[in-house]
Amino acid sequence: MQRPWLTDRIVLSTLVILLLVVWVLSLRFGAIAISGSDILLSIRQHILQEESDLTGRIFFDIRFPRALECLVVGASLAMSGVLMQALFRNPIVEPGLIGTSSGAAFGASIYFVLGATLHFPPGEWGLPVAACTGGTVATLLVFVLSRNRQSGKSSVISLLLTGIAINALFLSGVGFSSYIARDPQARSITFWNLGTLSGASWSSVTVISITTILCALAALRHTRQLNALMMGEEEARLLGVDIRRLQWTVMGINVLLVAVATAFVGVISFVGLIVPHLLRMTRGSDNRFLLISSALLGAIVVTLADLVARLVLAPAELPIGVVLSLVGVPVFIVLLRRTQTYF
Amino acid sequence: MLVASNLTVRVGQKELLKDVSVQFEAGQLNLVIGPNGAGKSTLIKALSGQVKPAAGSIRMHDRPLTEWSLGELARHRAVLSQNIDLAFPLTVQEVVMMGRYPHFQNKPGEKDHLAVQESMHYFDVSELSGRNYLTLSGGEKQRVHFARVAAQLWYQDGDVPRHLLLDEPLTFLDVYHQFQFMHHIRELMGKGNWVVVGVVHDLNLAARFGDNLVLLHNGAVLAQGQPREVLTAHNVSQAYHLTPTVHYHEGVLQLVF
Amino acid sequence: MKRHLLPLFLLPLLLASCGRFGNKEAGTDHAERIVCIAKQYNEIIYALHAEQDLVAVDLSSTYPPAIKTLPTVGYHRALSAEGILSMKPTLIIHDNNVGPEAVMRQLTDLKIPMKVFDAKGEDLTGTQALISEMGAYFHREKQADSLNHKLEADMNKAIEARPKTLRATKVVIIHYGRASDVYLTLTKNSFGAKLIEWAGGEVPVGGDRGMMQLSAELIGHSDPDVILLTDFGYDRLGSPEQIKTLPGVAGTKAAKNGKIYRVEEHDMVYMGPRTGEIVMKLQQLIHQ
Repeated sequence: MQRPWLTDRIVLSTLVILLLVVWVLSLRFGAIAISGSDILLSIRQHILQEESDLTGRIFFDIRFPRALECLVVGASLAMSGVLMQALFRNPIVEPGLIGTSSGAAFGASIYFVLGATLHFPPGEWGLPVAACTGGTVATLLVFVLSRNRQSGKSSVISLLLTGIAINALFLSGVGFSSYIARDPQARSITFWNLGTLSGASWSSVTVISITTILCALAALRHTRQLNALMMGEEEARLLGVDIRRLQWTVMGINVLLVAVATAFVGVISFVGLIVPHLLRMTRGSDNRFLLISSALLGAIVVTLADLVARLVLAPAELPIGVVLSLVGVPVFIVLLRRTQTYF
Repeated sequence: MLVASNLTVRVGQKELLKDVSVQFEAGQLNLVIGPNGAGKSTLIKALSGQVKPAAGSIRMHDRPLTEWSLGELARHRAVLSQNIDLAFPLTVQEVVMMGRYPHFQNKPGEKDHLAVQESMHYFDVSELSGRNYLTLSGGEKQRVHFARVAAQLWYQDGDVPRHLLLDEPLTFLDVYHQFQFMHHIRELMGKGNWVVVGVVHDLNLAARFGDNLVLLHNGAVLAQGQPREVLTAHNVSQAYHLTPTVHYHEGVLQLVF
Repeated sequence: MKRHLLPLFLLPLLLASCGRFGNKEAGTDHAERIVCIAKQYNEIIYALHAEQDLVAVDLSSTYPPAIKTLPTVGYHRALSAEGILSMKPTLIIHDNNVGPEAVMRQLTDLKIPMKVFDAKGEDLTGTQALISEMGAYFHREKQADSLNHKLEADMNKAIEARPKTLRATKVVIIHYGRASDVYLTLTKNSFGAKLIEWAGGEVPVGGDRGMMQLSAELIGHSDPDVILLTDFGYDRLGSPEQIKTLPGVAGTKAAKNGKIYRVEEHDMVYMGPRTGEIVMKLQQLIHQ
């Protein structure tokens, strides 16, 4: 028997409340517990531009941007999951599938290897730029190679297959880089592939926030067209949707979302897959609802995972990818088995 | 008015339609009949612009089909295809709302909500409104899609008549709902300027409800005109290799095989 | 549902309770609070008896055994700023082999004092220089001098005692066990090879990096007289009997003569005050 679906309002308000709770917890706890009054004091000192003590500076320069970065990274990865699944009409698609994250990983590994052997001074932006470039190049490659030579169109199937092939290619590139790398660099590549938000800074938060917000607004304009796509490309065209333009736009949005987030925090998989799916179980697949609620739930999941990553081994830290898979996969499977699914 | 002149459609070497010229007037219920593989669905696909003809042309409201933009077409023409399914769970109401997508930018307006509500009521799916589409039966799904295409054309946009193309709309329906649907279509047509073209399999149903029939055979038009002119024993046996007895009783034509 | 999920949430906690993670700091007062992220430095700090201000170290610092009572701030290339800061350090000592970069930048921005010693402890003189530099830094000059004397004396003794045979004993050092018959081994260019050389042996594995993945075929081809496995790989494989049967290893002289031994990783990868003793131990091990 099918459970009745919840309404938008119930789901969204629950998510907002949860997000607030989780976010406050993530501000408050970490390797160092910072009390509520210290937090307020630190923020006040910054507004008044007063000198603050070490705890205050830790909060404002490390904890606060990191908590914010969790929100935007989670939102952007989850939204890109929604977009990809809608575009490919397939619930198992995740943002990495069209090459973006493997390309970014390859860019990063090149950076680690070359940075070590050539001794060039790359500065703060070296790694993100390398990763972002890698992600974009790989995605473009998938797109260009999957185009049918006669019609100039990319069918969904050829996109997926090309994506899988290019992914394999770039991942073997990552493997090769870590093979020729010296041990410390090889370790850096491994850790980068597991993702971490430990490097969050105000500048990275700003960049990710701007792209995430712009992409979210752009994506919201296409949710109806993506809904129509659920009936297939033919039917969507009959409802006036320009499929090719939609493909390009959504791909573009997705590349921006994934490449930028991945560039700063490394590969964080699974969020894009699990989050939209969980929400489908509550309220169906209307893409407008999915996009908004996934942004919220994505932020919650990443914030929570990062909190766990920071706490369990404190003062050491786990890669967030490890936490997400360790906790996320079993939860996901339990939910999947308990819920009536329709695929 | 929807006019096809000398239409030829090819897939590879195979000619699915050969030099077909047909004309569908507004205000009439045009039904396309013919045996399997005669080219009925291909004709609908060509008329809706889903397949490009190798030769010949189609004019909709006296303007070549190729000159209509996707958006314009979607506001004046709705198509009910065969075997539509959804990749994801969605409420029935959202599926019907898809019919209104060509008509609004970001958020559905009052008019759109009203069209959805009324068309759902019209096709008797109001009580399914909050259900998950993927859990419906075949017949229920089909009725939801009736409501969707009806919602798409619920209001006439400008002076262009509403064009409705139906590819085997009766497939999943029981006899009651088949008749119900045909009555509904006639009723809708009575309320405005409609061009309706439908593909049906049941010849008696075609005889009973159609104003203008087109009998296709091997991709060519075998006969077209009023039911009495088209559904002769000779035509039917040529197309179906079965000779019927044709009864004509109180204005109703009936074929018995 | 809750019943099902509970164990899943407990998993990370279980993880936390094993190994060296999650150690609580003993409640002592420190004049300085030093987090030292370099295994070589840490061993020297202990040898200088300057460890009382050490509050945390990195995961790879495992010698001397007493160091394991200190909390760790994680792997030296996957550090977290908050984790380090939670130890309230007044000084961070590292050897530049740290990461990720962004985290080091955060720490620099917060103006946490950091110290990298100038001397590169890669050979005998370098290590002596490092010990002296660290001795001066921690005001333990005397202790440093005596460490240096002992190190030099041990080294001389060891080299003196090196067997004067015509052919050096071939020793392969396998660092990690194996993954699909590929062995991570130390090359001629590694510090471990230097130790073996001093001990009168020779590492038959070339390569410009310190470690290399070596296929079973190459291990077999190099036909070493002795095979050393570092602790992790040895323990994982279990006994010498087990190791002897491995592909590549099985046909070697080392396997036939039963010359497969366990060595501690932290003895083999950097030079420190104990290196002279280690060389002598290795001599005994590979020539017995």
